[in-house]
Amino acid sequence: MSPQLIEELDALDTTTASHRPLLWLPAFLLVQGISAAARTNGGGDADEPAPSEATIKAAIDFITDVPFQLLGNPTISPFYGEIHLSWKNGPKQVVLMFFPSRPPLVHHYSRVPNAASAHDIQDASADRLVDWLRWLRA
Amino acid sequence: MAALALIPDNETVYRGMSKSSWCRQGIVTFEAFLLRPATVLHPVPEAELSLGRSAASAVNELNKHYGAAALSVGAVHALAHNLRILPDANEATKAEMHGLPLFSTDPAQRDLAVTMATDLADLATWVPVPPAN
Repeated sequence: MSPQLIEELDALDTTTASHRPLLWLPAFLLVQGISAAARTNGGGDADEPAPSEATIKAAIDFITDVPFQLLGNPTISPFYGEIHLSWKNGPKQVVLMFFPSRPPLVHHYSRVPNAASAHDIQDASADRLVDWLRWLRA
Repeated sequence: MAALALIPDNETVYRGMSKSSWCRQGIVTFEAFLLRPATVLHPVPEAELSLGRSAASAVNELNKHYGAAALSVGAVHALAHNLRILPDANEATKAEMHGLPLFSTDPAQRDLAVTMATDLADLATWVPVPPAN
């Protein structure tokens, strides 16, 4: 592996899309995934509104400020005009929710054996999502 | 009218999977257990989660389905959420889950809704449902 490639791979952990002239392929696929999933209005149910263009744009703009390597391959789900991105790792889950009518929220959850699950929700920011995705993988 | 008795803990109930996003690679997702908001066709927000008492009855009113999520009634009643699974008063093959938060974008309500839905998804097992003859 060339030193230049090693340097580029190292940089992926901390570089965000908004700081790169070209989208890295996985980031491009994630953006495409959000656009595609958001237009499926929940599996084709005519009674479920698809997310608006503004909601899709907000989701894409948000994730381009998060390091690619941390984003990985979330599950992308439309939900009655909302877009949900979720990550699961064993008993832990992080859900990022974009709404048509309010700023995004980030929910974190951890299943605790023989006890109530630990959870909370916060207004989402790129820094907060980074913190929770690091927690998810710790 | 007398109050309906809870479905016994030793039974299994089924959530019909009406959306492809409710199951990923055989794993049931939390969205399967979120109540829906008011819509054009359904102007009243969902207040109970519709269930079947068999996998077939869970999907028999869906135009399209992606299998069903099996839930042990006892495991649901054992969660620390005071959820109750009752028979459907009008349809013997159906059941309803009472106690889930109504659809809301209020952070506290959404926190509860996603947490309860995730607890339920963790209990659920996806089962295929063959097409009806």
